[in-house]
Amino acid sequence: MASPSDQASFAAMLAESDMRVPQEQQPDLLEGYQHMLRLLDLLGRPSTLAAEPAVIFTPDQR
Amino acid sequence: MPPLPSIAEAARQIAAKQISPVELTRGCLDRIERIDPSVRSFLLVTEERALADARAAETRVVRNEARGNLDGIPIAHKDLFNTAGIRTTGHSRLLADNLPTTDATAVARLVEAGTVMLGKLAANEFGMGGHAFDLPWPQPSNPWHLDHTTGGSSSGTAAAVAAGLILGGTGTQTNTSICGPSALCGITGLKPTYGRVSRTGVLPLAFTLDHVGPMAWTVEDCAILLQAMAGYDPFDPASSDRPTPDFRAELGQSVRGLRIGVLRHFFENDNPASPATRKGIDGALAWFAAEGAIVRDVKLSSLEVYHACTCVILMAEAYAIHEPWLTTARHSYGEIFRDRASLGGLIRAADYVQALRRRRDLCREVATAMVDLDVLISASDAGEAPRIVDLTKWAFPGRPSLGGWASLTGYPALSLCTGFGLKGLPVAMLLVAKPWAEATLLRTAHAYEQAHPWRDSRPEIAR
Repeated sequence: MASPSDQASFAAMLAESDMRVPQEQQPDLLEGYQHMLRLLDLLGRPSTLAAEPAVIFTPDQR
Repeated sequence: MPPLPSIAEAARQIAAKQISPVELTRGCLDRIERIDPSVRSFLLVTEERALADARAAETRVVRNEARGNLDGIPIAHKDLFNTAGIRTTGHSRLLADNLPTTDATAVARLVEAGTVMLGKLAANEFGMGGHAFDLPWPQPSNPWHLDHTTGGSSSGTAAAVAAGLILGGTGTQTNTSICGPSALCGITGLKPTYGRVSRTGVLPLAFTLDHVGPMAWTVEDCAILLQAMAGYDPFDPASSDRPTPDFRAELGQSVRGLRIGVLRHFFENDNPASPATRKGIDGALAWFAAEGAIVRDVKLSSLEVYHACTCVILMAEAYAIHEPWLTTARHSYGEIFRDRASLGGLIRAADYVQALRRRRDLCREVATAMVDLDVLISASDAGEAPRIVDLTKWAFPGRPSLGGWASLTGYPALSLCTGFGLKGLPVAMLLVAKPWAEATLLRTAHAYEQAHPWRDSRPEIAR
């Protein structure tokens, strides 16, 4: 069962996207969203710009 | 109906004029006709094209103008690879009528090497749609046990190789899509270093995680295929211009002195593997040690952190690619891909950037751990292939995948069969080498493979 805050952030993010997910598909997607929130928690809070000024990506530098 | 030879063996037989490419190709087509109605690995069999390719190869062989050890070898391509004039669907209704005008670079290189194109192979929809039942074409079954999954997303390639319908094929991996199905189907799958093989002309899933690689029955066959596929491509921004080495150069060398690290906590604690998987890995480690390799345990961050990082980047990038269709043609996707990809639209930009930052930390962690190591060993998958009826949509983000960290970091990885477990289903280990050290990876895997009998067993359906 999703917490009220998870449900609220899910509804807010869904509204911001243009996906127009039908009502009957939303409970299933909410279940996936809860998995995603758990994964995001594992990554920690975003660093400040000063702490990490650039995201560089090349095959040799990753 | 004898099993097909390996690519290396077929190449020797073709060179010695003991078998002709046409004969070999007809044998594959016959096996596809007999076996594939049960396995369902092919979306499209290109019989006319295959026979034309085979006749052209045969002419070159007769004239002593053969192009090398792939000339006349029948293979097939995952249906995420563009093939000129041949339908390329991504196993999705959305591209059901898609006819590319050019070959993907990897396909073009294999064509240039003289391979025979047998057709296009099933996949999870766009590389992430799981074992779906609501697509225009079915998902394949595992040739070792038809009620069990092949894993994905390179499901058709793994099934077709295991069933002996093709001698090798192409796969793509964004999370575990080469190594996972290779493990569950008991074949060999190689995900090269990020940038080693061009992705041009391959339907993308997540730009910074997508890899292309070979899948075949043996380690040597993967080396042969990789040799043709690898190399710089200016049209893929991630492509590396490093020279392509001889990937077979170290095959046959012993493992004496090789330094092997074991990521035991990945498959014992973080995602506990089945008893047969652990037994296979323990057996392999004991063999490596007995052969003179130096084996020691290594600890990294929890597999869950690697998995979280991979999932967030994958979902966000997949959403960026699919947003136009997810907002206008949702009904055309299968349910599993649609819902998984939709999650990417619910990730904040700050969280995506955080995942990119964490990836750099994790890459440094692996690089540090490997300073005095040549190879890392873990499990390719958590165990024997699950039953198809037991698969669930959210298992993907819900349980940390054992092979995804190699995609996240870009390190080359190879899945190798280590025996058989419940119901005779195969189990496997994952070997990972330093960036650009595919030759070491292949050497290590080849030495183990040559000393063990697993390549002598084929699924009952393929015998």
